[in-house]
Amino acid sequence: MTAVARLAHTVTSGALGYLHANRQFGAFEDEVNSDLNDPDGVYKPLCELALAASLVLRDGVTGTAEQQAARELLDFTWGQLRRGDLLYERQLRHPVLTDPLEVYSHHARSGYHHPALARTIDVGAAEDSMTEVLPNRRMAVANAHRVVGVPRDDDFEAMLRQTWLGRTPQPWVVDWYTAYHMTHAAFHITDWGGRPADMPADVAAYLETWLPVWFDVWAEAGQWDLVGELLIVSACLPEPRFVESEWELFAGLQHAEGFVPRDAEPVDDDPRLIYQNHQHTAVVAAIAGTVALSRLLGGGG
Amino acid sequence: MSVRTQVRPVSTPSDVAELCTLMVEPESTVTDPPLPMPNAAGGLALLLGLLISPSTPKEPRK
Amino acid sequence: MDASSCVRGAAHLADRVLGALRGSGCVGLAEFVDSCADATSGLGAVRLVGADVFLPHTVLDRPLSTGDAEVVAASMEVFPPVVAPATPEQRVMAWCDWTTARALARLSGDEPVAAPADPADVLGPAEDWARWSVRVAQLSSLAHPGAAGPVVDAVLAQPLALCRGVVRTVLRRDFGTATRLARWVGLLHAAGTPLPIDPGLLIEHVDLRVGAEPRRVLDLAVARHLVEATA
Repeated sequence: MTAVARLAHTVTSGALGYLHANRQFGAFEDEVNSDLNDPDGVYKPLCELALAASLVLRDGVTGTAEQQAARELLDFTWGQLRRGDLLYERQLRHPVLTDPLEVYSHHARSGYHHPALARTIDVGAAEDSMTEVLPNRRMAVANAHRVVGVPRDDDFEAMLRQTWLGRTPQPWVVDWYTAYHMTHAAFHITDWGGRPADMPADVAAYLETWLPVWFDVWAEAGQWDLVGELLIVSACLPEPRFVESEWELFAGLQHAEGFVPRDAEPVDDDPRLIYQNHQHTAVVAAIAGTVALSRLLGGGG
Repeated sequence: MSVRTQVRPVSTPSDVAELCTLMVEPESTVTDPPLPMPNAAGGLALLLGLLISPSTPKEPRK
Repeated sequence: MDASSCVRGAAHLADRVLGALRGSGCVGLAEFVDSCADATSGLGAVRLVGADVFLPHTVLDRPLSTGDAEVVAASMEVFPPVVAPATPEQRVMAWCDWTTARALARLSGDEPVAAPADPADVLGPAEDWARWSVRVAQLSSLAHPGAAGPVVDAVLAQPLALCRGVVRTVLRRDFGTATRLARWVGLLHAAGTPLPIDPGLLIEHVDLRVGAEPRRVLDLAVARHLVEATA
């Protein structure tokens, strides 16, 4: 497994380095208010950046340089979010939206706090405001509350059983979007590999059986972003699975700058376009590497 | 009156080789798995980020 | 030999086999060959369909017609089996031919035919389940009710590789390969092997999507028999 550990470290280190070096492409250009004209534009990538950096810090298995880069990324995202004020205003105005809570959870995980936002989240939880959500998103909300430290009576296993993954269906009844719902259900039940034992045994067995097939099929189609998420899922299992050929494939896709292309389409030359198109996959790569490395070194409880 | 001779079927080694190729069909060379639909639900191929739900509605400016 | 008439002929022949399975009676190989444009292509078609011409016998226990057996024997004279298979495809063909020859020998009371070789030679390692399952699909004529032999044993021992293989074909939308693997899934199910997929649901899913090509429809009919026999 040292081969996989080396690959995982290279992948996460490279991806994190890329995200750090190019973070200005993910900055708000203008003054932005809590309504956010274009949440998928800068805001969403900013949130994902925070997620990746927070997991690198949480797992603490990469070197000093990477830990430093992760910390600087969170300083950056927190700054972009006006030290939480943007999230606070947004959550206050839109109590049903889950994204302020989720973004906050990644910062809170890493020691950034906003008391007014935390109180707003507390009240929202008591009001049960975030209810009309897809099953895997319900789990995202529950996990975010858990990370922030809001006491709730969420039944994680029951929520999992409401998801596609929790029902362990015939494994061919899946499309590209459902595959992402599946990966996210796995992420949230295990808190991104932090609580792998929380995954029920039958779900773990199901994933062990079918991950190789999904990996093979979507790798053949050049869907590198999804394939990266499958690597994360593999590392989140109670008995994590590491397949050297899968990691070699993924690591082999990584460009010198550190990003991994999201698919087999030609990669643009323009650094801004590269960031726009492939930032998400760099986030996936950074997370895959840190979670895998952490599990290889015996982490995850 | 024409005499129809029964032609005895014969094959050549290349016939047998061709038969083998016909008999042993490879799997489909082109894969057709589920893929993102670029024009679905708003146009972004990667709608599903790691975090948030699809695009939030815009509020009318006051 | 005209390859495309051979292939067309094989489709027509599969239709006749399907008809026989559904109760019309016998396959009628002599009649079939006579109906072909030329006898060589007709016999080539018989070779292509191979042991599947005996399906009414294996599935429904109908007696093996001596007339049909003679035509099959003739097809193997005109298109002889490969003596020393060297390529992977030749190895597959050798096992398919063995299955046919074995059925003929049983009928004629002849000496049982020796198996070609170690099944591992034709299948490859089951760990490489994607490539392994493609070979298994190519050997689909070995999968029928009452099937036995070294290849059958080798596949029966690998339910996980088989199921991974068939799920992969379904996701790739390669339904032509899927039907052939479905026969094997049916066989494992009939043998009582626990499977991580539902064979019935697999068959229905593929049936809806594979189209009307008779050889594929025939595969699914065999798969259904295997699954329903234990229902």
